[in-house]
Amino acid sequence: MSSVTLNGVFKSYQRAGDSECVVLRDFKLKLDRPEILALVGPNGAGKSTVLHLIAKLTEPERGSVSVTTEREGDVQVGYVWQNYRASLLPWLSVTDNIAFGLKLQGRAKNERRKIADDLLKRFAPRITPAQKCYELSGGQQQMVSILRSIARLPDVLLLDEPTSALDASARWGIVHHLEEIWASRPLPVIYVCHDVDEAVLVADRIALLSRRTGQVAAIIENQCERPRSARMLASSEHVRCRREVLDFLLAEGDFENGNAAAKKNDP
Amino acid sequence: MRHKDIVPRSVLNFVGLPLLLAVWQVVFSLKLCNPTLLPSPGAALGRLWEILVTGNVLPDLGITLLRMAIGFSLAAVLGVAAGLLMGVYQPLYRVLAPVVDFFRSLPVTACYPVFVLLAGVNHASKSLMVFAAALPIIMLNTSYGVRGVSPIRAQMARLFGASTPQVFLHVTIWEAAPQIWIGLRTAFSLSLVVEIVAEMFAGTQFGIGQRLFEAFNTYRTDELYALILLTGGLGYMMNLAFALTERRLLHWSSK
Repeated sequence: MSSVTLNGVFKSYQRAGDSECVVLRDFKLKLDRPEILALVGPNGAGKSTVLHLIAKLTEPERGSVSVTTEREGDVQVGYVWQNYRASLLPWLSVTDNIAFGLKLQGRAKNERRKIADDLLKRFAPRITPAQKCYELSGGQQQMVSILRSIARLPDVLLLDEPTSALDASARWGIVHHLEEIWASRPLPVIYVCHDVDEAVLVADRIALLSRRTGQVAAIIENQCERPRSARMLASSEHVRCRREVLDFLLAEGDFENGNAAAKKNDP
Repeated sequence: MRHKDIVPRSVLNFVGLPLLLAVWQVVFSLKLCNPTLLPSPGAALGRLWEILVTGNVLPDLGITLLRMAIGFSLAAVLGVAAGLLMGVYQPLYRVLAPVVDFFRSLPVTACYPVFVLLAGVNHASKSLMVFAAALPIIMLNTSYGVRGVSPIRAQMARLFGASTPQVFLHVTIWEAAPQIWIGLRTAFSLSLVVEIVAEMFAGTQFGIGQRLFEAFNTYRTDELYALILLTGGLGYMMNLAFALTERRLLHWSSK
């Protein structure tokens, strides 16, 4: 079992003109079971910063960030970027992209190819292993990026707006595959997204981040059963969660991404 | 109807050169230019065929390509190595970039006397001139390639536990390769120009440039234009070879 704990974290950035922008203040978050937690909040609330801290791509100024696992060896963190084009390696085939992390681990070529091809067969059989990534659609490229992040069997999986550059059908495809992948090997997953329906559809819990306080303002438990599908968008539990998230976003003054319009149309 | 529906694109690719020759023939036939200064395309092509078939031009061609290859190869090895260092190490880039940019902006032919003083009047000065022309272009393009590497890719590799040399070997060098290739290709084209010009200066017995200059001095205009066509064809073939290699080896370029 793996867990992620952020305790009393402070993080700020220098703005242009040398003014300091505090993103996280005394920030606390804990995941200690296999679940998908969606991080939702207005722009600048520190959603991506939380992922960077967990992945150790940046350090907190104060407080602690820990990722632990009962497994022997170093903690493995899987990370999926919003910009799949800039994170995949266009000079490599699909198989070699998925196996990239395994190569850096020093695994034998046959072994890493087998792992990558097995993942493809299981979760994305329509993608040809020998294809180059730039030959794939946006959704398929993001799928390769997700498979690369799980190939090393991570203890924690972090996804930073993985569908925001995709069209609606590719977006629901990714959400569906992610659930399928998670069901095959449950682990703590943190999923940053802007789309309220997507957050509710994908997550077991939704953490609402406040830009004003730099903290988690509330955590909404989502009781919708798995497996989930786009048909559940109209279920009473989905609608309840959605209303709570939208109420929060409107209170935070986030009228971006059509969230205000979504509220108006809400039943 | 679009033009490609009327004439296939593959046919259009071969229209330009015959069209140029046709315009040349019209200019010659209508005597729009002094025939002593501009021979017919037939005369020029006939002379080109003659010097190629008899092997008459081969010693000149050989020495031109050899001197150019020496200068360019040295510039490629040193330029790529120095450019990689400049790209990776920011302070070095800040120190060297203005200097390299200065030399890239300086017409290398203006420095020919300096090369003669440094390397003598014969082969070495020509190769040195090619080297000096190619080096800044290769260095700058290589450093631009390294500096343009996606920070997300480097971050991704580090997250997978890659060390700095591993990030360099598995990400940086590959991502910079298309830009390095652009530098090599541009420098190679310039190398031919510089070599031909350098051969027009004193101190050489063989070389396309020297032979061009001799044809000009003796009013053998059919040979002059034959050599111009040969040089143009040579440059075109070299550029084509670079483009085809790029398409094959650097398939991800501009994707």
